[in-house]
Amino acid sequence: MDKRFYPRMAWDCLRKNSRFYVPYLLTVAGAAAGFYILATAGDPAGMADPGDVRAIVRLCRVVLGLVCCGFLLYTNGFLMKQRGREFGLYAVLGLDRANMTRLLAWETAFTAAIGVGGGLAGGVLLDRLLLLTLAKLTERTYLGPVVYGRCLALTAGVFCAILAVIFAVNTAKVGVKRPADLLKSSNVGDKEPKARWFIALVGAVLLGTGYGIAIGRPALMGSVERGDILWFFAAVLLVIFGTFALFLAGTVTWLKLLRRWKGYYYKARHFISVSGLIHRMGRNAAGLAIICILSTAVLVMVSSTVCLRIGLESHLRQYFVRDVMCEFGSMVENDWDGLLDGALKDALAAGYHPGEMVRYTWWHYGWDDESVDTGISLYFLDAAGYEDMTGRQADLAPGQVLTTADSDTLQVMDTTFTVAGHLERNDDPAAAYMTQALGLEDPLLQEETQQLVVVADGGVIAALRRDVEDYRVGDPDYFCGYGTFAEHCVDFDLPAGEDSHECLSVIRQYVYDHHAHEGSFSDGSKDIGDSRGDLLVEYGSLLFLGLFLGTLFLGGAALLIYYKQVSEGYEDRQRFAVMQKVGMDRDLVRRSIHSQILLVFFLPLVTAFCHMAAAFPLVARLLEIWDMLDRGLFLLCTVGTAAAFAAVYTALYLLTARVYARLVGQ
Amino acid sequence: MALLEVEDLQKTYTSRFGDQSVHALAGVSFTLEAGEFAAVMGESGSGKTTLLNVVASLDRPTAGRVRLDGRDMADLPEKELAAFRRDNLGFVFQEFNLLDTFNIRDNILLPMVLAGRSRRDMDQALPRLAAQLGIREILDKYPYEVSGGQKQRAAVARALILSPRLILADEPTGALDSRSSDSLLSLMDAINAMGQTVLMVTHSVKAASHAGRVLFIKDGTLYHQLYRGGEDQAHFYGRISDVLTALAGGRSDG
Repeated sequence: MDKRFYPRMAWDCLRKNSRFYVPYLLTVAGAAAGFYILATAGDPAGMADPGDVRAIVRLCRVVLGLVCCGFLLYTNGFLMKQRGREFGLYAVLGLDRANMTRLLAWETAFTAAIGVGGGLAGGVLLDRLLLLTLAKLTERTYLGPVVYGRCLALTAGVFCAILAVIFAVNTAKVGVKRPADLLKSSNVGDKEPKARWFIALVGAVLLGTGYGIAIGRPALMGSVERGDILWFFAAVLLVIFGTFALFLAGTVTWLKLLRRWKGYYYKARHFISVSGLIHRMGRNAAGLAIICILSTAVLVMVSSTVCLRIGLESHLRQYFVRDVMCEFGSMVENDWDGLLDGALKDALAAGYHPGEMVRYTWWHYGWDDESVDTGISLYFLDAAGYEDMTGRQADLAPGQVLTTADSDTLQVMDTTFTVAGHLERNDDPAAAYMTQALGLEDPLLQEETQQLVVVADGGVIAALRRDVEDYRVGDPDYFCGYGTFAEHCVDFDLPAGEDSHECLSVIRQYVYDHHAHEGSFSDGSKDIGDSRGDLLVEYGSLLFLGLFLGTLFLGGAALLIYYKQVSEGYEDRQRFAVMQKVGMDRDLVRRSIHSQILLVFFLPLVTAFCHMAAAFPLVARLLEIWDMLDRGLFLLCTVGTAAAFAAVYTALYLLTARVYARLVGQ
Repeated sequence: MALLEVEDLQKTYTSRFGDQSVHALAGVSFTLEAGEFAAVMGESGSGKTTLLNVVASLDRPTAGRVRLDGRDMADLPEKELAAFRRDNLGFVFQEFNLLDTFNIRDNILLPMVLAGRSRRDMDQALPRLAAQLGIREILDKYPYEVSGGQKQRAAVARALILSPRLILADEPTGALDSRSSDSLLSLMDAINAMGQTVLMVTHSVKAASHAGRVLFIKDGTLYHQLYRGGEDQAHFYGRISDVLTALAGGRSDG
């Protein structure tokens, strides 16, 4: 026989079945590309951070490999069922098992060459594209190598192994059956699925437990730690198994209950739907459960990572009232006004354009008071700084103060101040500003023991500080737990595009060069750019993982949906014809089938939304690990993601419904 | 008045671009009295299935009329046709056309459910019919669990459940082995004996010999008719064969 016979025949087979093979090849290619990209994220040459992230990626890789294997086996099973008659015909025409094996081997070879080859090429391309996106998201420049040889080899190995498994399964299937059976295989009636009470019950219990953890656990958690993620994974596993069990057994059991309810069942509009759904669910339950779980994963991953990324700025603003926050103090006296003026002049000269400035001197003084347990804290602030922070006038003589304390005078060490005005304890803008500027966990002035004291100028603070210093020198046992330094600060924003970190460096350099180099010196300056960079890498990587896995899973769900529509189209075509002959009008048939499809189609989506809603409390708490405390924002991201996902899902439905309509021949 | 009147029925299929047309039916007329059992015979492509489809209102004629009980089916709007078919016609198909998502009981009850009959009606009609057709034991089984003969009995039960005016059978024995065929044909005889009118398309001489009258169709026209009268089945079988031979040979001396 001609040597080229088998390859040519195999190629023809693929071409003739292109309606099924093109999506199958896309599945293989997409899975391989996804696997490759995920593999590169865990490669030492890549850019994932060492430690945690790389270990997580390795774990994901194993899971993804297993998912791909199961997924491809599932789609291949569908493919082979559609081709049953074709193989039967070959058998009748005289191809024996050996011939058929050779044919399948060539087909597998083509599939591997096109699918895996294309997948790897696409993977390299996509990886580069994704890295550029990631670099954009995280504002980083290191991109790593273009091609990861080790990852290519690993991906090729894994997928060739998967295809080999599929080849073995197909060979076994084709070899076992008699030609006559193969001829009939695409239209053999499926057995009616059995109602499985036990599994349905187990499913309900698993799902309930998973939901219980997700909803009940957050209330029991004090502060959230990384270990609490384990609770989340426990809930995820329970919900996955619960969903499978409920889809496999629960739906059929429920529908059978409906069928037993004769008054309901023997009505024209329920009769056909219920019986049709029993069979549809029996056949599609696994696929639907996979779609549901993939959808849930997409929803949770995308909403939470998007939320983190969107919340980045407000998260940063919790700690940064202004882009650049200079804060210096020293043991000996310095001309701080002069130093800061000089530093700012340098910054201007270096091309930076500081916006409106908040300049202030503050000093934290505390002592133990016999009458209260905890001690008293006084936050001193100069009047100019107070005006900058609040926009309120504070004309004070050196002996006068504004304070949150109730008394008419205020005694600090040996000095007595007259209280010229009272400040609102819970509602003073300066308190809010200081809370953020100091990065305090709890808002300032929430406690009775904390007082804000606005004094005339920095000189008053300096004098007070000297008193304390003298006191301490005189009495070594005197306890003064708080600020020995008065801090001299200037905070300002920079226009977009100017590097806050570089700007701070200029300022620091000037102050370091010019201050009196005696005694100890403190530098509590910080800038938003530096922290943003760190957070961008972390949140950007998380968002990248979320979007990447989300896209991958969405693609998987889309393919499953396509396969489902095609397979159901073939089945319903005959049913549709029969029902019309038996005396149903077209409209009723169309409506009944349509409602079944809609139900089956949107059941996973609705279930996924339920899962997502149940996961909300726990995920919201877990986001606290990454300092995301804004529930409202997370809710918004969740709703937004759900809406976007529903739109994509509906679009997928409409697209595939056309294929279905063509098959049924409406 | 005749139960079914078919008057100069024509059906022309035109190819998509209208350059070729095929006359599947070129003017067929006949009547069927209530209680008759008639068979339509002809070779493949003679137009007999088209005739059945038009009579069944599954297909619209190009010209001519079909009247059931004096009612012209062409007058019925598309929407009412399905209901009309359901209430007046019962179908038996070669490939049974049972729905695989229903068990035998529900397959039989399908027309009743579609017609919106009450549960009491169903409980009355089904047991009687099931006993009569000998399918009581398989009511809870699914089509794929029973034999071809049983499937066809179930299909007959479905056709009869609403007591239609006319049963239309399209090659009802075509997918059955000879024993099942025999048993189905005697069933048809029994149904007919109870007064049920039957119009059956077949190309089995054996099946046709069970009828009281045989219509022969050739090239879309009614070529010949045979009445059984008081004749026994074996003799009638012979006469039908003769006509078929003549039909195939292209001359008429039967």
